[in-house]
Amino acid sequence: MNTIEIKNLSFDYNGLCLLDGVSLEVKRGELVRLTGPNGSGKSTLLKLIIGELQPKGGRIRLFGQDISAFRDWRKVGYLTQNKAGQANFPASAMEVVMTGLYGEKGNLRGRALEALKLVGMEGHKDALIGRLSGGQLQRIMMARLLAARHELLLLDEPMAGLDAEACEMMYGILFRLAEEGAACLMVSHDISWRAHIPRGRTLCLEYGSVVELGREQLAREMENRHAHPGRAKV
Amino acid sequence: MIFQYTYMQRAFAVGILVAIITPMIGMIVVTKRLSMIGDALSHSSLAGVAAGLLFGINPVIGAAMACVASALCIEAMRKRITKFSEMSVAIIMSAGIGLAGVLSGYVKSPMSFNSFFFGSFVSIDREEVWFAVAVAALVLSCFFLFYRQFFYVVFDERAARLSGVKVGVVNFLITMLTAVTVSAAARVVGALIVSSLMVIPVACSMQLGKSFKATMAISVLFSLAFTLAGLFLSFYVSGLKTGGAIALVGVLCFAAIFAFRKFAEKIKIQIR
Repeated sequence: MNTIEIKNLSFDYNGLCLLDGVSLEVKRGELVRLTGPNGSGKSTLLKLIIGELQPKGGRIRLFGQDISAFRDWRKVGYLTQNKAGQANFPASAMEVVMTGLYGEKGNLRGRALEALKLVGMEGHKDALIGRLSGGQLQRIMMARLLAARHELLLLDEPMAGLDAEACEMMYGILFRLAEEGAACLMVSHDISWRAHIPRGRTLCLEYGSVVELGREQLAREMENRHAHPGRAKV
Repeated sequence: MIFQYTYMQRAFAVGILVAIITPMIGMIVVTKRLSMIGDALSHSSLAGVAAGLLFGINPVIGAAMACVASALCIEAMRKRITKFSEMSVAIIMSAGIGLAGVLSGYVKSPMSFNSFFFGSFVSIDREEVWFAVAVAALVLSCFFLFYRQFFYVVFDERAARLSGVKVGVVNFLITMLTAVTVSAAARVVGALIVSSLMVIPVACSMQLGKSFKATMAISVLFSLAFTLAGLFLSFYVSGLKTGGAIALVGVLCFAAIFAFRKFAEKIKIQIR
């Protein structure tokens, strides 16, 4: 059973065709990177998967169930790209990570602390998130997802604002989660993915449809991105 | 002695209750980036006060009804104009003040209507005290029962929905609590000042708080201090309006904290 199964998905935004017959699958234990130019609909695809937007056509299934009937959303963790609303929020890192454990019982503080340790932020547990840098906030938001132990992670630019060392740590965590059985679909333009090409799949969303990138195309994309960080064309 | 007067006892009772619950609601509306909602609802409450006086209903009940109706309109409009959702607050505020202006022209006792502008502790009756007690009990019990849901929805609505929080219900509850709190506070503090009691204690505590919970607790302490200071000052200084005194004490306190923090930061940098 695929964790995510999308067939012929189409979506229009203000009359503009953004997704046209997109099909993809993400299996349990798989880390899939989704890339593509700005405005190609990558974040929109994630929003369609969590049911925030309604598709024009096609089908999305999560854990074998159509999303219209899917109710077990606690299995799904979502990391948003836009953190403007949270950047100056008057809450401590610990309070934020604890939200990921909503509805759960047991030693929640212990779990939250463990997640903060994983992302190297245990020393900032009592810090106001408004006083943290963008990269530190990103790690706190990741810790929230880790604490919740979701079975499917949808990550929108999880490496944004992270330095090379933090990126490596994050990839390490994501691959470990995948080994433990979680499925992960992440939208990312991060070039440090180069080092992990053999361990995950890369899909490219362009002109409304998804293609899987082979090694050669992927190497070209990485090279292109390295040389021209602003350009996203493959 | 200030407490020998029954009206002062009532004023302190209502004032303390309002001072506890208003910044709690304020914390939610400020972090939801809806600081102006208090203003919009309090202006609408004036329309309810005018309607109440006009049709022989208790003006506080009229204010509560107007606040609830306005809050529902704001929530409905926010869902429809998502990109400029703060416009809904301005539109409802305009509608409220417009209606209050029109209706006030027909009110036979303008003095009772005017007492709602800047608050009046002299005119609080028994019914209004009980209304404040009921509203405070409702707000405090909702925060006790649903604190985690409130925090989660305010912090990250999308993640809260995925985690199983009934976001629509929580937002509706927040809207209703805001509306009844504004109507209860309008009598003592004054409709034009309610939003300052909702925002200024929160603004002060945000300079000092180290977590959401701590910030909320500190904002309640600030609010109590401002309200008590305002009540004492308006009792002893003749002609001083309660609401105005509360707002000014709050603003001065905010300016002092802000200046002190800036000064402390400068000293810290120089020491380094």
